[in-house]
Amino acid sequence: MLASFNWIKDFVDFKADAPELVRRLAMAGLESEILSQPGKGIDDHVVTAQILKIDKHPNADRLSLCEVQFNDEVSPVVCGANNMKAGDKVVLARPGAKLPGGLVIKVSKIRKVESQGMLCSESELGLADTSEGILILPPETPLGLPLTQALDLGDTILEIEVTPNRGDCLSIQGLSREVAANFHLPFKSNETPTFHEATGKSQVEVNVRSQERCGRYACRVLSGIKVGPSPQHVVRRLESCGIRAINNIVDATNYIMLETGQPLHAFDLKEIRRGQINIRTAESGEKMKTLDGIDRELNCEDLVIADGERILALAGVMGGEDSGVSEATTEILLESAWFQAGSVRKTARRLGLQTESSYRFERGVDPSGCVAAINRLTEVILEVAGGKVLGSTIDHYPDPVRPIEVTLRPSRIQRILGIALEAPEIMTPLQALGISGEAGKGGDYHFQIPTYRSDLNREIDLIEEVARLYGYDRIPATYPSIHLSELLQAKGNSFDQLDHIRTLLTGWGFHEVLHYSFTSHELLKKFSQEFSEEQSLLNPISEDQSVMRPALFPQMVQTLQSNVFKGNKDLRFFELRPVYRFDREGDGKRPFQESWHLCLGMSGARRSPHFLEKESATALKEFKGLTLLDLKGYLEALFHRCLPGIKIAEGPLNLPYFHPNRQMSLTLQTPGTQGETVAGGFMGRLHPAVLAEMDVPVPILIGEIYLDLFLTEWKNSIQFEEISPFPTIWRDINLIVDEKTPSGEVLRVIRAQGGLWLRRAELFDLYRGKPLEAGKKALTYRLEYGAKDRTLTDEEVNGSREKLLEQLKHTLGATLR
Amino acid sequence: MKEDLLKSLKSLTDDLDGSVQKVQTEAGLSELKATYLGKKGRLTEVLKGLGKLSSEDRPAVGAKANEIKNIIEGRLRSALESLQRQSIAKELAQDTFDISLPGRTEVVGNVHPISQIFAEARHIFEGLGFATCSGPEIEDDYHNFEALNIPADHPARDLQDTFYLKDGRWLLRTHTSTVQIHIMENQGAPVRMIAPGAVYRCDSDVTHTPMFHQIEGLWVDDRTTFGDLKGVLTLFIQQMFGDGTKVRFRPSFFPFTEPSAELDMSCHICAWKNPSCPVCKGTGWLEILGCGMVDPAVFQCVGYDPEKITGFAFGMGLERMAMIKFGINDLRLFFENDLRFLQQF
Repeated sequence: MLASFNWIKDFVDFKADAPELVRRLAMAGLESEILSQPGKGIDDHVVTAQILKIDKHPNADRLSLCEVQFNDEVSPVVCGANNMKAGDKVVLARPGAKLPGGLVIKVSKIRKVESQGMLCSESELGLADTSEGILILPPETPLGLPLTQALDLGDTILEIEVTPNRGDCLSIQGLSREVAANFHLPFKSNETPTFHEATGKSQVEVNVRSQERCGRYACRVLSGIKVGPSPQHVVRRLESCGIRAINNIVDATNYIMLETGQPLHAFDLKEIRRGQINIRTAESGEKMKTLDGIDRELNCEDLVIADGERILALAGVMGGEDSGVSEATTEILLESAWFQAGSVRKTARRLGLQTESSYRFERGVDPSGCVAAINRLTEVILEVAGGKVLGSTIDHYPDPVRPIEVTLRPSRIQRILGIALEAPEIMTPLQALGISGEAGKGGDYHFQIPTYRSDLNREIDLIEEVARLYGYDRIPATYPSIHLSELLQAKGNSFDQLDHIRTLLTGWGFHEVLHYSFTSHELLKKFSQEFSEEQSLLNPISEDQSVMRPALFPQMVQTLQSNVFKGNKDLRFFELRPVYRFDREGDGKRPFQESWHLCLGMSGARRSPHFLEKESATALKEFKGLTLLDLKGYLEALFHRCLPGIKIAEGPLNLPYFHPNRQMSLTLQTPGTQGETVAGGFMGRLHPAVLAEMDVPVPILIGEIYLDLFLTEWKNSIQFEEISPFPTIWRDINLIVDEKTPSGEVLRVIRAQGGLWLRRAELFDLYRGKPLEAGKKALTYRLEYGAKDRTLTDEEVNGSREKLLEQLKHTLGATLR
Repeated sequence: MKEDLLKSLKSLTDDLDGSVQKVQTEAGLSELKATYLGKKGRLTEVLKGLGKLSSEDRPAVGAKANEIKNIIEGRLRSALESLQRQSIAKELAQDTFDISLPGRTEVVGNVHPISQIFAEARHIFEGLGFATCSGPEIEDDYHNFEALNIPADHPARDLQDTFYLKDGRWLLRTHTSTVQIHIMENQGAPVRMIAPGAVYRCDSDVTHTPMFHQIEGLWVDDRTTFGDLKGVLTLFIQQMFGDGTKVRFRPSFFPFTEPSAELDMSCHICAWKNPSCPVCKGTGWLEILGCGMVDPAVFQCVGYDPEKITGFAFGMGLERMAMIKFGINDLRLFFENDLRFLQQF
């Protein structure tokens, strides 16, 4: 909410300047900042004046020579503008004046004619960013006054963030009450308005059909009013508080709303048909045109103000165009009512129509204040627009709200805040806020909560009030002692595992990336991702962010693409996040599954070559480009590090977006079972057609891993194996097999049939070509033999190797090369 | 005779010192060795006189001769070592090296700044006795709002524009405070937990992304006070941002805490010295987290007795902390995944 510093000062006589007020308000829970200081930098040499006479400048076509009067003096002033005429009230910067832009005014000769000052435009005065011509003041402006005084400038506009619980602070009076309590100063309320109340029959008949949603409805008719512009200071204040001035009637309702926090409305009495004001719910499909000129279709949830025939206003939200005050209006009906917060909120939300009025009703308006506000409004309107009260005032308020009483136990204050407070420390600040109370038997306090503080209903609410006014900074910080809690502390958590994966991957050169959890339908379809429509958002910001992702890799592909487009090379990225799946609902189970995935994405080389490696650049070129085997290697190492002892196996895969011969699935053996397996993830190189479609000129490798096992079986399987003091013996075997025989199958047979002493076997070389026949390949494996209790002899090792060769020949048809 | 022999022996070593200094090559040293110790060398020559000595004198002179032999061998050996050292030194002196050439290394990647801030915060909180927990991101209205004392049609819901899933019953959590409820539903006091994670609000502009990250914290016991809240959170901020960091607690409003506070920390960019500091706007303070004493209504929802149990809760934005800590000026960079951004952390 925007608030005028000077306006607050009308109600509290404090000495602090604006920055100090901002600080004090912040410490009272009202965050604020200085928004603007109109008129700042305009000194008292800038005064109101009147043009008596305008002549052409004798030596310049585009300039005028004006005779300008302020006080009793008349000065010649040269002026370049042409929007003024003799008799206009204007702003004169006299010699010696300094303007906000830094310009200092002196007596000067312009084209040989003396000019004793300058006539100013709004932009020269810092009152507007741009302006055309000089500022013309209203005719009733007195002469010779400093401009800051004449326009009520020199004010500071604060933007105050009022938290949703403090509806009472959405007014100058409410804010002033806070300021007064904070500075320990009295709050100066307005004098009781004085005007002639009328008697006699009311001009309208009020029927409240929904008592719950309209707890109070006060209205009064004024006749003989004259609609016109508001006084300058009213316009200034409204505009500086962000409300456009319209005419003296509408401006008065807004002005008093800002002052008191009570939303007010003025109807043109002529437009109220059959003399009825009916507060009722709309009929479904009923239409009206609101003040902003928009046709609205209503439903039976909307509370409206209607006359005998049609809807006049949306209760607490906005008036109707037809029944608003116009130039021709002479009789008005003023409304000051209390509408239920939830009711106003529903209508305002549904229509997307938040107004100054709905904003206040939603946050709680004081029903006790309706009549004071309408009286104040009446007083102001009678003053600025003339007229008189017609007929008696209606105040429909069958069930008045009464102040509630809340009990506050000192022991409870100590329990919550950790400090013991004396009676004056509790009572005095609360009393300053209008909350009166007394100590009862047993030392407890009983407080009467004024109706404008609807946020204070419970003891804890008062404790917060006491703490707030005592000052949070005066409550000493303490260090609690700990009761250990067996449940949470004993359990490990998956965050350690996730961090371990991060450590490994960054050590291998991967950067962690982060994508939104929602993505586009289109992207998921492009990568054949299946998902339930239930995973879509009802109200997405855009199609790009419209469905909760069932997999990580599609966005990874996009990120690789955008990095390639930005000229970034040699990319290795990972993402570690949950994915979302809709499951059938049942047994009170949540229908959505969230499980952690790891996605790796790579493109380019391991790194750009060091200069030492340039010499063999051609050899490196083939070697250093990242291949599917690099990705497989990283993933195998990750499984090995995080799930040692759990067997993984690759399997064939047939995904359309991968290169048909560069993709595989990974399967994990379920721990504690005999050969049961669980899906571990998949990887592949993107299909060249997919790359071409995305305009990406370099290969992209993608892997996605399901982390469930990582998070449950974390390092459970480590068992130390004693280190043998006896040396091991190495043997190579060089086999020729069919091209179709997977090398992994050969290795599997070697490991299964290698005998007791075989400790390790790894592929050492792969060769195709002459002198091998077509359709054959040569595989060299390096085998390590060793025993735990002695050094093996050559004969023993050779014998074991022979046996293995037999087996390989038998099962795979492998021959020794 | 005996004296003559001893004198000759001594002269051998005296002569050797002069000769060794003149020799500059390994070959020269071998030659010298032959001259003194060879079959026809000078020592052999001297020892030929040994036979003419009396049997009493012979052992003493013999021992002396042995000693002289060892001395000569020793001196020749050290001369050889010195020559070899010189020759290596000469060789190495020619093998020059530009120590300013770039080193060769493997490339190392980085953990995302959001994960880094979380890891740092987690270590601090776990050190203070908090356990790290998590909860679902797809939530129901009860856990996200109702149980946190935010009834339907309460204006506090305006602060958190909510994404709903298709059927309108499920939503994306707007804050990690939901985890408070899950944890308290499942265990009794004491509770000390933090819960990190993604949260979602229907808001996207220069200073808002529709997804961001929070850490929620909850400390519940039978004797926890607002003073404890101040102590624990001050400790956290000072461990996270440095010992000298000042904090202030300012009244605020959250539906699920009362009293509620915002925690501001002193601006480490300007330290109150720059009235137009772009980070703190000249106030000297940076808003860093929201906190407060758990509202009794929340305790009632999870079946705790608010007369017996008190506690505090807090929530902070990881993006905001990372921006302050690393001086990042644009929130959206966290989600753009540009290598040039990621490489900097």
